[in-house]
Amino acid sequence: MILAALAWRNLWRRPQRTVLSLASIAFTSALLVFALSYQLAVYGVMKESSLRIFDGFAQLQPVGYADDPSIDRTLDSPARLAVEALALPGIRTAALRVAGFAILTHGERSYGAAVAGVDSEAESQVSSFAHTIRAGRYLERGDTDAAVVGSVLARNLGLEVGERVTLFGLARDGSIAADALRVVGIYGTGVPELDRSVLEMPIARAQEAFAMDGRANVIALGGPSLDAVNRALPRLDALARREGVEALGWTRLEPAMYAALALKYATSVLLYLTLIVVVAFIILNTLLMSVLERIREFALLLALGLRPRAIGLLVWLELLALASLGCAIGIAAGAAATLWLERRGIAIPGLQSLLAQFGLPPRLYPSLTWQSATAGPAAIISAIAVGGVVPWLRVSRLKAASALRANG
Amino acid sequence: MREQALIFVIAWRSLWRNPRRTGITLAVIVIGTWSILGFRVFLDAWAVSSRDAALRGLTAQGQIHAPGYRDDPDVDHRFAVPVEGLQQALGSPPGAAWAVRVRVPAIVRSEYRARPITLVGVIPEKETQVSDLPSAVVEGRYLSGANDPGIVIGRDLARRLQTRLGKRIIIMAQDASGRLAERGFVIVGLVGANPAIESGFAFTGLATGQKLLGIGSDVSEVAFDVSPGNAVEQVAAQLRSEAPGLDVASWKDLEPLAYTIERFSGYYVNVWLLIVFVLMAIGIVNTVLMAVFERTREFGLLQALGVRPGLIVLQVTFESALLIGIGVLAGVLLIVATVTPLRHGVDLGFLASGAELFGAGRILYPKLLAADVVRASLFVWIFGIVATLWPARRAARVPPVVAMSTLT
Repeated sequence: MILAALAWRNLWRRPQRTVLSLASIAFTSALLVFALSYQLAVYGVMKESSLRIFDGFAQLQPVGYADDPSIDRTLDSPARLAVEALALPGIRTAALRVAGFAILTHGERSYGAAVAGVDSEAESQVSSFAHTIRAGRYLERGDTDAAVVGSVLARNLGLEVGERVTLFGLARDGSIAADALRVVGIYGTGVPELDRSVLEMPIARAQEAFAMDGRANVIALGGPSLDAVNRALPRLDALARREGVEALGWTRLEPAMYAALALKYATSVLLYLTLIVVVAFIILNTLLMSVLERIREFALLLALGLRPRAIGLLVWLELLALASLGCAIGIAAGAAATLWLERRGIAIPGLQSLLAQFGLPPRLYPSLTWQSATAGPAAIISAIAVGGVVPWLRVSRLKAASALRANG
Repeated sequence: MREQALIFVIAWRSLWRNPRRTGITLAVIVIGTWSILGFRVFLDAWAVSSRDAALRGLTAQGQIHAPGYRDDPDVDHRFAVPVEGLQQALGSPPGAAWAVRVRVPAIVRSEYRARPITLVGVIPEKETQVSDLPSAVVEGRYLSGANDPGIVIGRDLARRLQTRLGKRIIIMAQDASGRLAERGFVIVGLVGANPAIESGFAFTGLATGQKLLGIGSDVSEVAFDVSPGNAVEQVAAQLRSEAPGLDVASWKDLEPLAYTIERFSGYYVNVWLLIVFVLMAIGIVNTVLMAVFERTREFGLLQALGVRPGLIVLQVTFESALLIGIGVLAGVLLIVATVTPLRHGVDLGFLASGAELFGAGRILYPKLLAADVVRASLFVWIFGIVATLWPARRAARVPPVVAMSTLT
């Protein structure tokens, strides 16, 4: 206790040094608080907005469908499965889909495209197609003879709203699936692959055309947030196993994005760690200098009967107090800045229009969480606490007589 | 003048009078300089690598198409390559490398499955210059020439088609006369790349593709890279004036996402460097400050011996100029020693396991630019000298009696 009080007082005997060291610790930890809050939030937005375009936050699929998405791999009683999935906490929407492939023809022109049979109401909550309609309207309940197509596909086929498109494909039972539908709307998600190659039609009609006999290929799931759906994954998995199907979380739906984000995250953590090590090194160096400068003072304490170990501990406590105070200031400053920007958002000049192309909001909002507020500062304190063992040991080896003779 | 020379000699000697203090300060400066330059090199390499990952697939730095191709990439939108001047412009230094391609939508059929894909006809020797795909063959071989009758497909596509190396597949595509052309190919190689390329592309010889489509020597696309030091926009403008009838686009239009990320990282890198700089500056100033405060008694003694305060400030300035100069030089040597063995690439793959990492920018090629080194070193040096002026002035102003009675 006395040691702690001594350590605290010692810090303020050289205010300039303490203030400068505090400044660098506080600055670094504030920076890490903000950087983590920002980075995790941006990743969250990127994940959610790209999953929202078509995949959904999770999916139920027939076993093996992810590797080989062919129309004859089906969910046999999709409606019951959807009801059971909806009963799980965190799952709010379940959209049944039939996913086929067909050659679309309009006049002289023909293009291959993915054909999705969808339940318009559930679908508009899971995917953002319904919100990117550029002409006409999205599918509605009660539609039978209706289809929406991507803007590029429509342009390539020379299709306008109100015109008919013919489709030829392979049905589930190997027969030819053929149908002709009136285009009621044209969507533009901004993702070229989707805008060029997907047609959506009412699920009942698709089940008929592709001889699905009431079956579906995929159930896309949505919820209040990606996190909520992720938390529901273990139960979803259990349900899937019971039913002999497969539950896929976002990491399996978008493996490339997952890998890219994981790599980016790991790389920036490496960057942060390097920064922490460098800052800790510089602060410890300053401390080492001050310790060596104070050898005579320590010798005096030794002569007064304090044990070398206690003096070592004193030095270490000083360091820890410095680090804790610095981190506390840093967390406060970092959290304040983050909370302020959480309200205002961060707009990077010249980037808004580019971000909009990918369905990202023009302003990005950091989001402060316990994890983002404490991970960085905790790492700083640990680094300094560990590194502080060096001066501790150095001081513990002091001998009173030789130390008193030391000059400077 | 002689006075200054004398002070210079005293400054040099007094640096080595206290090797411990000098050593600690040096360590901070060396590590500070090393980390400023290290972060710069690392972040730059990271940005370049992410960009290359996006461009070294099929995009290259720019592409030339017939007008309308980008909306409707079919066989009708093709052009003849020997456009007067264009070839010359591409071949001259600003356009360092270029490759012509046939690139059309097609259907691929194995014994079991059919999938929509993009068929690309290439000249392998040319392709190697603008793309990393030829070296991404994971099984079998890449194409051997423009007349190679074999086909190379993505590993994932092979799995989806339930086929493998050495098997035959059938490619169907619309030919120049609007009829469906069909031809069997033997799979000679499988490429492992990012998911979009792995599951949606097939490559054959340029001449083989041209023959299948009946388009003579016409092509769909020219992909080009500019030589280092040339701005892609400038080259694109030059190409546009040589071939006014064609659509010349730089990667910024072709890959808006990669461009957004590049803009974003450019911004991020600068903010990050500023932060590292501030932190290092605080660290260096703090240590130098300590070193000067520690010597209050010594300066008092000098004053008592009749040295003018101005000369004491001059001595401290010389000392820090020498000390920081040596430190910066050592830091530069250290960073050169760090970067040189890494110049052939650092694979970050260990940071994120699993999935297809191709395209996520995982190999960094650190490169040290002389301009960066000079700028950063000069800045640290001048900044460090200026920073020591304040404590030096203060120390020199303390009356000798007070200074000499100061403990330590």
